[in-house]
Amino acid sequence: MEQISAAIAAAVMPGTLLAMLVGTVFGVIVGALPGLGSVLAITIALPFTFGMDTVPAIALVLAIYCSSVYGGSISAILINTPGTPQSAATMLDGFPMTKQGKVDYAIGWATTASVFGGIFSTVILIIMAPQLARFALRFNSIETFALISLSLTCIAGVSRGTILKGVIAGLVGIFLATVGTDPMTGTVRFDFGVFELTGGFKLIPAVVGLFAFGEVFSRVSKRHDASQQVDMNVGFRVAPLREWLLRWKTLVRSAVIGTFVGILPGTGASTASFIAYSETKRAGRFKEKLGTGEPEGLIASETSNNAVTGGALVPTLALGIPGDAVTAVMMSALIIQGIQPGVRLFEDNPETMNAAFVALIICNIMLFAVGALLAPLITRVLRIPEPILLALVMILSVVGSYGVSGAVFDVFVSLFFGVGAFLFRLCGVPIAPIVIGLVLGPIFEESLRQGLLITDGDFLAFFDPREHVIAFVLMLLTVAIIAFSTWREIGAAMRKKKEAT
Amino acid sequence: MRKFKVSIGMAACLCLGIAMAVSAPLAAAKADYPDKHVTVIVAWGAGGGTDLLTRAIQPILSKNLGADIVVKNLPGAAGTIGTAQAARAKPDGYTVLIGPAGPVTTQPHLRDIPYDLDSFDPVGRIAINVMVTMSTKESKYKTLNDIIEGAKANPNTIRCASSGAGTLPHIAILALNKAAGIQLKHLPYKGSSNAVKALLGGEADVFSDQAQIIPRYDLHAIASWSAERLPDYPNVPTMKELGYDFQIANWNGMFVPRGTPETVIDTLTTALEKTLADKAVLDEMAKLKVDISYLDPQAFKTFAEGDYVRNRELLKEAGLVK
Repeated sequence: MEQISAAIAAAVMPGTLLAMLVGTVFGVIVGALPGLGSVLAITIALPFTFGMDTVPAIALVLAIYCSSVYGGSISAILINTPGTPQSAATMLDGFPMTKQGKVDYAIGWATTASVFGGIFSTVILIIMAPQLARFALRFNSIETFALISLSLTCIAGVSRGTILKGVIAGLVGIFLATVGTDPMTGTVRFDFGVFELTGGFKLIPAVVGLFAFGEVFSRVSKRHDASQQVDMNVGFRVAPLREWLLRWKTLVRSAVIGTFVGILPGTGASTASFIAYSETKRAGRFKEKLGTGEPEGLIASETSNNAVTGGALVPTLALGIPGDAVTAVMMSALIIQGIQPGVRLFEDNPETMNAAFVALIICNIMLFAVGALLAPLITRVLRIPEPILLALVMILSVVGSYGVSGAVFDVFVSLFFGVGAFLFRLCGVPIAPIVIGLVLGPIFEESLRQGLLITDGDFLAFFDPREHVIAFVLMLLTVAIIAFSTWREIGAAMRKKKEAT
Repeated sequence: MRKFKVSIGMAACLCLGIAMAVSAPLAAAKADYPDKHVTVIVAWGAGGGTDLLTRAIQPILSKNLGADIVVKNLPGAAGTIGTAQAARAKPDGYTVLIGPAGPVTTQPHLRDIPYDLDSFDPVGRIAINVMVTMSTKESKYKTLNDIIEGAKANPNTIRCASSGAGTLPHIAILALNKAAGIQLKHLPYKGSSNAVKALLGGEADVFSDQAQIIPRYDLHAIASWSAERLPDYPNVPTMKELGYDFQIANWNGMFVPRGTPETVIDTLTTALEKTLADKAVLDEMAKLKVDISYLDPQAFKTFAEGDYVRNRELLKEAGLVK
């Protein structure tokens, strides 16, 4: 009890609260700008933490982390362009809601869902970090391979109706992910003599191209009709409680998925949001309406990607093993403060860590307030005439893709992906599976080849239930999902045929 | 005739003009360097080891050099993208590279890269971090002998993690293979923290990396690849004591593109040496658990070339040299 009150006292110091407020506002804005993701947001703030006290410094970084993941949803909802790759699944229902003029509700759903996901995972982090960290260590290459196989079935979830085109798009993504250095041997593949490609395509310029440029190109290609503009309810509105109660299962399920995926190093928030979305498509209450502006889809994506924040901190803090680039930068912020993440972290710095946990909860609450205050301002963007809005998106996207690593080459990568995405959209091919392929492809390949090294090339040994029980269960699930969706597709096709005759 | 005279006059003027144009900036560079900000390229993302080190010396180096310092992170392809950019930069001392051993002493052997170690002039070594071979506290491989005996009995079964093909942990595996005449199984992972995770999760048996990770992950140190025992680990034997005379360490040094005027290099060297003796810098480095170890340009050149040649031999024997 005494510890808790001491931690709260340390976290609610005026300096710490100010750091969190600044961090939250900054994170939301950076997250909302296409291309400027969480890593960049924390990196910008890193030098400022050098001169700060320990608790405010950690609070600042945590606030930026949570709010930048949330911020990506705003642009996904408003202009069909995710601010960060983590929010790619948010567009699927967020933008249709905007088109129906319900942008105020959409932002309300997304904000509340994000806050719920963030707090849920923080509580899990506080209660069971050491136990979960031990569990994460049981996820070796073969288990990771099985989990990624399962995650790849999301492609079916986000492209129902055009499943063949979805699978093609997913494969295109996986192939694009093989460009660059071979993870096992260091040989370079498919670089076509372009030195900059030896590192492969970076995710952020690719996502900016696929969504931001793709969206601008396809809007420009359509005849602009001012009379068709929907009357926008700008602002921020939270749906009534009874609407939430109808969808509580998705809220909890997505929070659990997000936390779980976050705990496993090397996966990340984009994976979590796609898994949660396709789970909702399979088991949600309003699954038939998903993709047409159904809040349940927003809940799935936003709850899960913010739930990753608490989950991803489990291995980062308790093991000292960051799962992705974002948590790696956060770990540096701790090391700069003289705190060594790892097995002894909680023993060595109990006060600091307790204060950090309290700060994490306050950050999430603050996120709601900042979201509610900023939304009426930001949603006004939709009242900007479309030609000017599109020009602004182009400028921000170029800056965003250049900003990742300050290389002009990345801007060309974005343009290349943008033109590709435009052509794909013309043919009715969904874009989200390309991102799934790009995100999961490298982990898929790496874990498969590591597993094969370990079993001396014996692929069947992956599914030996005596050795790899987790992998066995995950592979069974994968097979079941593939069989189920194939059967359903065939069934639908048969019914259609019957109706026609 | 008259025409000819004119053209001689013009040619003379032109020559003079060219000479002035060429020499003016050179003279200016000598006298006034630095008269604007200096960009330090870090070929890794913000928050990585090299980045933290660079940012820790940045304010003091800036003071000693008398110019603002801008740190530019250019990550990608195992540090080769940023390093290539630094090699291409104008050799005027306004673009400087701070980087570790990998991009300049191993990567050029592995594939076609638009630079090599001799594309740079060394300014000075900054820090050195000795490699330590380690296992977990529960591992059955507690000594070097355990590993060698085990590998002799069952070749290609002891799993050695590395942070990628051609990285220093991989070089350590190759060196041990060669020195002891054994065959260890190489498991490459993406980055050091994934390799450590494999070690902790039991997928890998042995991993070699910098000593600073031992306390963080509560690991068991088997041997250090240094000339003498490490002060923090007096009970851990060196490879040399065990009969294998190999020294492997990761280091960070400062380089400029080749052809940079000597006076400019001198200015940078003086500023760097002064910076590395500064108390504030030393304190910061102690926090980051980095061992400062300055070498002047000549000694650093010899040292880096030694690493370059040794790594080439090891990678060649493993069939990895292009």
